[in-house]
Amino acid sequence: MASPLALALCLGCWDSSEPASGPIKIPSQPIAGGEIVVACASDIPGLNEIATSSSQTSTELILRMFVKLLDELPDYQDHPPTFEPRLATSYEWSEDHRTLTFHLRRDAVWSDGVPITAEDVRWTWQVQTSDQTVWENASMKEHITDVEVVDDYTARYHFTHAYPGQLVQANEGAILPKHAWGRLPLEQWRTNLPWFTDNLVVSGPFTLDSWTPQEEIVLKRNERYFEPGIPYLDRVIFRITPDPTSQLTQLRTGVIDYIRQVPAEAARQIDASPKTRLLTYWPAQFNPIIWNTKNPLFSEPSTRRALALAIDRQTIVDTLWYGFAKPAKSPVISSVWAHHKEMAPLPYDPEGARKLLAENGWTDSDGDGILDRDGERFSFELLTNIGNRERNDAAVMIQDQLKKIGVQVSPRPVEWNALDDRMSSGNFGAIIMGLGLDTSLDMSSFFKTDPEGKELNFGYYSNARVDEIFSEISTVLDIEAARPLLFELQEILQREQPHTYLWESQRLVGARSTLQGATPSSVGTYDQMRYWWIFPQD
Amino acid sequence: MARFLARRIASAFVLLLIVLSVAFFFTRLLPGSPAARSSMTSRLTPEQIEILRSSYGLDRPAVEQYFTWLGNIFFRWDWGPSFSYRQPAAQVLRQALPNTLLLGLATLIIQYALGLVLGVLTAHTAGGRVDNVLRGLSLSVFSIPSFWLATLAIFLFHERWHLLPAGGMASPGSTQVPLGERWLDLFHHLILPASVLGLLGGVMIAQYLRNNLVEVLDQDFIRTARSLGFSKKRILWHHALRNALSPLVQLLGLSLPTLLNGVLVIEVVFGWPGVGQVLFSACSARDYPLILATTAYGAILVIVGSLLSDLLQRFVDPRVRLEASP
Amino acid sequence: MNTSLRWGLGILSLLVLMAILPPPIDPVEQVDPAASLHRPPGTLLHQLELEDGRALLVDRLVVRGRDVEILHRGQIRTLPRASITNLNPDGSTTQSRRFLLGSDRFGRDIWSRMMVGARVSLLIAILAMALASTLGTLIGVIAGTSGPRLDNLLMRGVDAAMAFPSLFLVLGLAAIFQPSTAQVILLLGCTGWMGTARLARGELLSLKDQDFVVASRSLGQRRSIIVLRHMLPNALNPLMVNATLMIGSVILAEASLSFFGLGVQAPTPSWGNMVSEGRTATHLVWWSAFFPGLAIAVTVVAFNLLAEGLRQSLDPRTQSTRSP
Repeated sequence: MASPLALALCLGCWDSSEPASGPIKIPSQPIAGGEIVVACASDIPGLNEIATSSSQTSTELILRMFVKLLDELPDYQDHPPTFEPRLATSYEWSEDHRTLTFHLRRDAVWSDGVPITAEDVRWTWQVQTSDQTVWENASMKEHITDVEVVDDYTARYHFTHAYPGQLVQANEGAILPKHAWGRLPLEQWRTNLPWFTDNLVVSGPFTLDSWTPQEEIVLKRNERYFEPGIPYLDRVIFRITPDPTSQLTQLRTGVIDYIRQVPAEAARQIDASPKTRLLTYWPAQFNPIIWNTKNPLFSEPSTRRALALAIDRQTIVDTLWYGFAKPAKSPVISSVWAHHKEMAPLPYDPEGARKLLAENGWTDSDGDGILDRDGERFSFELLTNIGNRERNDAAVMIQDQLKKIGVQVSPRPVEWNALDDRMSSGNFGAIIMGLGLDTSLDMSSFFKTDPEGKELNFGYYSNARVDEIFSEISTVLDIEAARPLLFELQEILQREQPHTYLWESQRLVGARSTLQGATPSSVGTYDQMRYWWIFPQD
Repeated sequence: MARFLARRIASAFVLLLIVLSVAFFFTRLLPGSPAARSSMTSRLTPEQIEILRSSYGLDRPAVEQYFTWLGNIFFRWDWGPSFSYRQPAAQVLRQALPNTLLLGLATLIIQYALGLVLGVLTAHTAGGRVDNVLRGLSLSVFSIPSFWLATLAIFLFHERWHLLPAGGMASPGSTQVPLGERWLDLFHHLILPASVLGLLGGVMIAQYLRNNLVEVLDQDFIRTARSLGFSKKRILWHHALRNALSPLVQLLGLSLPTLLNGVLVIEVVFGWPGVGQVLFSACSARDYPLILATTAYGAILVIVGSLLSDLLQRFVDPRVRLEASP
Repeated sequence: MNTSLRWGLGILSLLVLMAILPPPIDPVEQVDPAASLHRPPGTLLHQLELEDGRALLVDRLVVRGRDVEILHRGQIRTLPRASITNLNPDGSTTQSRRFLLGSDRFGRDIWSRMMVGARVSLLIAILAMALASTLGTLIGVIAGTSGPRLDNLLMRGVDAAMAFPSLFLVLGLAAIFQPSTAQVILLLGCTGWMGTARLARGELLSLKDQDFVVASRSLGQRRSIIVLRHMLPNALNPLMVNATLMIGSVILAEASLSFFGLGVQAPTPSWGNMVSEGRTATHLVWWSAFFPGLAIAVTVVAFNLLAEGLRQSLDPRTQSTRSP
């Protein structure tokens, strides 16, 4: 009976030091050729982004095969992001800012040799907004009235009115091949996804080599891609590896070259090993506790503020993130130009929290260690989604911290769909959630008064001045000019705490040392894959 | 024989109907809906959600949905379109099922080979030191959670000794190589998951077989054989084992559900591209038709498996007559 | 009493002792987690209570006049002695934490959590077993003693329940209900009764035609009396062995549930969730998953030994095989 236990004990004598090898010499010039293996957590449904419900993986993978008119750059630290020409060489606005004209490259062709023209651009917009395809981002095109074909290489977007997000919304979605995919009647788009794979024609640097469901998706270089000599890699193998522990193991043993999420606790080791590298970036994601302001416990801003004061964010960050995160104070993360740097964060102040709660009538009148008011105990469920370790762990830590000021928290991990259900129906007290904020910085869906709960204002927060700010912002064409308004918004949010922001964390990407040129950023973890290259190791 | 078969197939059919019906109404109880999925990640407008719901028939009463669904299955073997894969659910499963069957079969072979050898060996030395050591060993293997044993196996055989791959069914980039040229690679990938599951099931079979053999060895006809001077080994292999075989075949039918569940868990740990992974993603996407199809395929596997093991049992055990049982 | 039984009972009483004794350190409270997380077995940390109400866990402390030099989170720092409220005159602290089997990722003591986890895991195992056994025996007895029609119906029901992939059931139920200890018990109880039902039915069927049953039937006794007084007691031995075996498999099943995130939820420790939480960090901190895993293995072994021992001592036939 001792033997398997002895085997297990070997874990104890595991030696983390790697066989000594000299520092790897990185060639100075990119080398063309070779292949890499990229881990992804689940298979993707299909290659047509309009006909599938997208996941981050499928969107990113599809963008290796289909290009957009413009590429957004991750240069949003000091000003709103700029756009780089891709399929379009340039664009210009009309006088009244209601029409936008794109000039297309003349050398771009689909992988079957057919030129990419303004007809494709127009047709793409048509299928994007069709009732039959039911594209999930169709609402982004709601202010576009028409896409006009001026000539083969000029397309003109017409808008209902001028507003800040025009360029982003016009550019949303890759351009699709009309001559190839237009052959399938629209009513079959949602039931015959494999058809698009069988009739694949691409515009991007890579095309599909093979696809074995639940196993791997192999991309190879598209010889007709318009940038000469690009991509460098011959093949990219996306290997479906659902278990994150297994992904990490195979990165270490050299089977996999790139994983998009290294657990924080293993990150230092990945960084220290000569065989692997750690690449980091700050994703545009904020991690709030959303307080349901319809719940009597959380209806007063000062109570929400008290709870925020009693949460020791620094300790949570130190414990859960091993130095790869920092405490947050705003939905606009600190690496974005519109972040309010001068605004001081709320301190960790349990004494102050107790005082605030006492002012609101919360005292421990029955001496059971839990605050009460009018016979009601300060006790609530803190929901998280099953499977997200950091959020579940944070809930456990917050439970411990709020206990110290007499507030009883029950952490409750809930299955994702059930959580979504409770969130959209307002059936909750507090939720720890991760929410994305794209570079348009449009926060109205999170905070604008929305009594019916149609948007993402899950906690039914409502503030007249906040609503005013949003209507003022929507008239400013250059979002950079709205900086004072965005600062004021952040100050109100800090004062009233509809959300309590916990941390902003780095995304930790693990890569083989011989893989060069990878620049994961909030634009995407596979961004610029066409410039990645790998050199053989001796 | 024919009558027995007809009865068993009829009852298997009824069984399947029960499982399908329970599963159908069970999925309708789940919170969240496939059409309104994820208010956080998707920007579907209410109008779009309505279009989706009616195109999937979700706007009709559950009972009507149920009969349409059942009718399509029985008359056309059409399990409906998978919501998340946007293709017929049966097509999604057709790709995954052979892989699960392969893993299950390999596991079964290892299980029974190991169980037979270990069982006979311990029965042969019953009460002795070898018996005790082997039984203690297998008991402790049996007591380890399967996913934990899998993690340990990956750590030792892949990470530490670089002997076997950690997951998947083929080396990266070679899934499209014709099977004839990569069967060695496939075998390589099959060893770990099949062994982990086979080890766990095998020690159970060994224990079962040993107890049965010990019991049989104690029976009169064996005593007679022994008194007639047959060697112990000969008695064990020729007489006792034949008698212990029937319960072993019965065990095969009984252990199929356990085996299937084990395979589904192991598939996730080893990234094996089978039904388990499909079920997992279907559940999280609330892909009703795919969930139901997966469940039904699992149930069919189990029902057909136990039917076969019943037939087999009647074949190996002369005492059981085909007409006799209900 | 045979060897298996002796060993089984011996290990089991140690486990029960482990479950009822109070844990040395609060298994849930987090004190200075950033300084105490993932410490190896045997680590000793000194706890300093500061004036402002915070607590620090330090590796070392040396009193130097009016200051105290501490090693905290890998850095040497100096604190004024007066700011520490729990310092003895000789410069030692009144509180310390010894992580016998290491600490987890919140700096909680793994040994203490295992002691509380023993309560949770054993409770779940026993209650789920009781539920499954009762349910299974009830159905099996009804099937085995009533007419062929009801018997057939019930047994097809058992077949259907067995054919239903339980992973699907588990995933589904977890979505409907919130995962909790009670739900885990219910789930494991409701998916584990089929084997018992078959066993009970088989036993009762084989007893049906035995002389003493036939005799009491001919004496005109009521069927319920015959079943309860005569048949069930005779079928009890195999059922007891089966129930004991089931405890082991329930403990394993609880661990698998935790692997899918559906088991006992934090901060309540169970061996299952400790193993699955510790699994991701196994290559860095082996102790976080190893010791709870060991506890599971030892417990399952104990129950298996107990079952084997029971089988041997209850079954008159096996007694004779023991003599050569």
